[in-house]
Amino acid sequence: MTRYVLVRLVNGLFVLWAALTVSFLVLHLVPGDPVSVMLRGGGGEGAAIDGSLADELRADLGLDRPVHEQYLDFVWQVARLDFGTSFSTGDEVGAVLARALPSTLELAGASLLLALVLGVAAAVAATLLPNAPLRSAVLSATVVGNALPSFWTGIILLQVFSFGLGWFPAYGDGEFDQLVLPAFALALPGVGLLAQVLGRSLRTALAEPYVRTARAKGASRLRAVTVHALRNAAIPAMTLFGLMIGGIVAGAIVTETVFARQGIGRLTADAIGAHDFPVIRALVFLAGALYVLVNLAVDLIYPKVDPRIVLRSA
Amino acid sequence: MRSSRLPGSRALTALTAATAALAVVLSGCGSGGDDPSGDEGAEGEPVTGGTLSYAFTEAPDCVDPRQRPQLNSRTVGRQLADALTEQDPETGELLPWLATSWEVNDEVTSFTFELRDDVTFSDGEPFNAEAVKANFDAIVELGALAPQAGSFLAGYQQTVVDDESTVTVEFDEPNAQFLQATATQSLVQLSPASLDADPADLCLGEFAGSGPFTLESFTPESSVELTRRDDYAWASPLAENQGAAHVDSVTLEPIPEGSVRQGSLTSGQVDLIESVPASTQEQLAGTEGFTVTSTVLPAIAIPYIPLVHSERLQDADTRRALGLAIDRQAIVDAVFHGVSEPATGVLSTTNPGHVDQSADLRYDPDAAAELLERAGWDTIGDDGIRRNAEGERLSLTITYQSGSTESEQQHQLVQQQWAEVGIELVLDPVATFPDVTMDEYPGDIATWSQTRADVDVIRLVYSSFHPEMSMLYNHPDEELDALLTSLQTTVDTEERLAIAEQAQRRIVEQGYSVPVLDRVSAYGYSDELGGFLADIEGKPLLNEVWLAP
Repeated sequence: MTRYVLVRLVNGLFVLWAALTVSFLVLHLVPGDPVSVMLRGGGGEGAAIDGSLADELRADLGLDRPVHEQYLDFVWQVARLDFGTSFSTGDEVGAVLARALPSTLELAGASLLLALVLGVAAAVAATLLPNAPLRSAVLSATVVGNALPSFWTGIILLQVFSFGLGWFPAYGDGEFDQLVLPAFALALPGVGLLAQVLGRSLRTALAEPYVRTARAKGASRLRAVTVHALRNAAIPAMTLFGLMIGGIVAGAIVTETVFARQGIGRLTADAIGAHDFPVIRALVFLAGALYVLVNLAVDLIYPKVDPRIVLRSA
Repeated sequence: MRSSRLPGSRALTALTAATAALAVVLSGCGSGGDDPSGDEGAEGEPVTGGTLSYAFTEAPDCVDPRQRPQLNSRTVGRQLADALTEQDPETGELLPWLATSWEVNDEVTSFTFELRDDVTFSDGEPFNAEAVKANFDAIVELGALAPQAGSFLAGYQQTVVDDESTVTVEFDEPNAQFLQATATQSLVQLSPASLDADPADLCLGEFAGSGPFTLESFTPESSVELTRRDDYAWASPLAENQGAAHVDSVTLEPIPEGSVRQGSLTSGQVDLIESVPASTQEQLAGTEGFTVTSTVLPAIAIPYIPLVHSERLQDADTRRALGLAIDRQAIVDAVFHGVSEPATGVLSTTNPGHVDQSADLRYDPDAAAELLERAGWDTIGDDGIRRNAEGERLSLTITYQSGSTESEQQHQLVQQQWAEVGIELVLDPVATFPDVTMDEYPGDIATWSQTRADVDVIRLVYSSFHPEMSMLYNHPDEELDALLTSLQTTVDTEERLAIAEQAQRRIVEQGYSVPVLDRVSAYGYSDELGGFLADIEGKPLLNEVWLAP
């Protein structure tokens, strides 16, 4: 078991290294550089800047060094967990991340919880509902939920519940009422996906002999689904949920922009726009580490849910 | 020229990114209308108190306006610190502010300012000649970190403290544009006690200014809170309220998405928004209880620039024909929802040097065809494109930065308009520009605008002086260069404008630029808000604003 975890962690390090390398390559292949973004006047005054000043700034940031040196630095600093300072604000990257994290943790936690509760409820409902038209209505609704772009759902939620009814504020973070709409907007596609996958495996499980046995022994349909089938049907949904956790930063980019929240998603979008290498590096590291750890956690939970699964570090 | 070095808006894209960048209050629309008595916003006597909630498109990453050319940094900077001079938004005339008067020597190398003696910084330090000297020295010290301010001080020699309230700034060559530069946020005055601080800390707002507000809190790229300074008594000459600000405090909220920004305003969650989206501006102006104030950037009107090094554009007639073949109104209506103005000159209408050249900038495809015939493009091929005697097709390429839907649509519309007179326009979107000087700018057509409320912008862009900024670099027009050089040695406003007018006429006559449109952006606010006033760049003076109880 310990050996399995260790091997997985070492694999995880390779994943992180690969993610950092790819992000470094992409950043250097994409045209533009941090200095040009810093100096671009937002319709600014004058905007008559000497090229030599820009070069000086580039030298200060170490951007004039050969690419391979910059790459080694990029990776080596992460290895020492030294994330440096942001190009655009001159602030410690750790501090930048610490400011953005609470907002995203809140949002991610709330939306994952919503997705889990609503997704499981919809899947169970779609299996248990007494008549076929109702069951397919629930399933179709989940398909729609999954298909709606979260940008659009966000705007619609705002139009109705903030601008129209005035129940929730449209922007900002920190308060509970500011969390409700974005959490729903971010959760909806996940609800759909989870309900479909879980619903399908529930139907498969219900056809298994052990369910028939349970029913024959007198278990109610509800009990057959929730006690017997759900556990066996949960594995694919767990995998999916793990992926959803890993991909939460990507979802947060759109949601945080629409709802003007200052979290990791917005930070990612801004940092990429500004070519702020140190911040991007930290974000890639964070997202990669989250991905590795969540996947590991999910794998470790499998045997608890389904004892037939045995972990081997092959 | 390397695009990476360019701070200015190389292409429309960059300008679009800057729609948040607003200029002077030009015309009110919606409930504002043309009524100068102002039924915009709240009416009656200003009320003291309250917190103004102001939605930005994007929060600044740095609030030291000397270190950042971006408009949001300067908007915040304007509330925290004052400048030596101010510009009249109507005329562009330079007005006294922290400097009560100034004199310039005949060589235009030495500028002497008389200073107010009743001004203090928020840390209690007095504003005086020593402080001004410390500020200019500090800009030079900042070097690359204050690129814009540094370029305004090009050739800076020293500042001499003549007495407590008199100070002389000396340059080693004529620098007439310096006067207007003292009105910009790039050269605001900070407390000498703050100037030694680490530039990164200054960015975070760890400085004292003499402005109407102090910084209560600032989280980079997130939020800004300002608190009124109670003993403020030296407001800008534009302000009616010369004392402390009306509102107690201001909260700046970044709301990047336009429809959310507008919805937050109409549902009463914020009081003031910048950058009302063009597509919904009319709707907001028509909504009872809300006002939209449109603004034009004091810039070079967004142009198509025929590149003089392009083989097919050697002839002035060909270059001028391009302008006559553009239907500017159609572009404004179709691409910008009517929310921008057809260009009437090389400079936008709010630039102090604007000259009405609309007769030369008319839409006249017949005249365009005539000029093209005269220039030798007299055969029309089967594809409808003109050819010259050598059989070359009149096909022009515009290389532009991709990413802005509006500029893309504009280029496509112009492509159709030019096709009608037999010119082919090939669109060549690129992610970024190669690292070349202006005389090797790719393609045949460029689009390039720069903002500054002074005629000096045309010197930079249409001379042959700067390899990275001047469109005629290596292809000098001697007459034009001579005019533009004399701008730096001329201080008298009338003379300066007269020279600039000659230069602009020359630019249009020779077809060095085809001005297309003046970008308009807009503020929206509710009728609960009174006293909205903006400076020449459209940055609001928040000490004027008050909220109805």
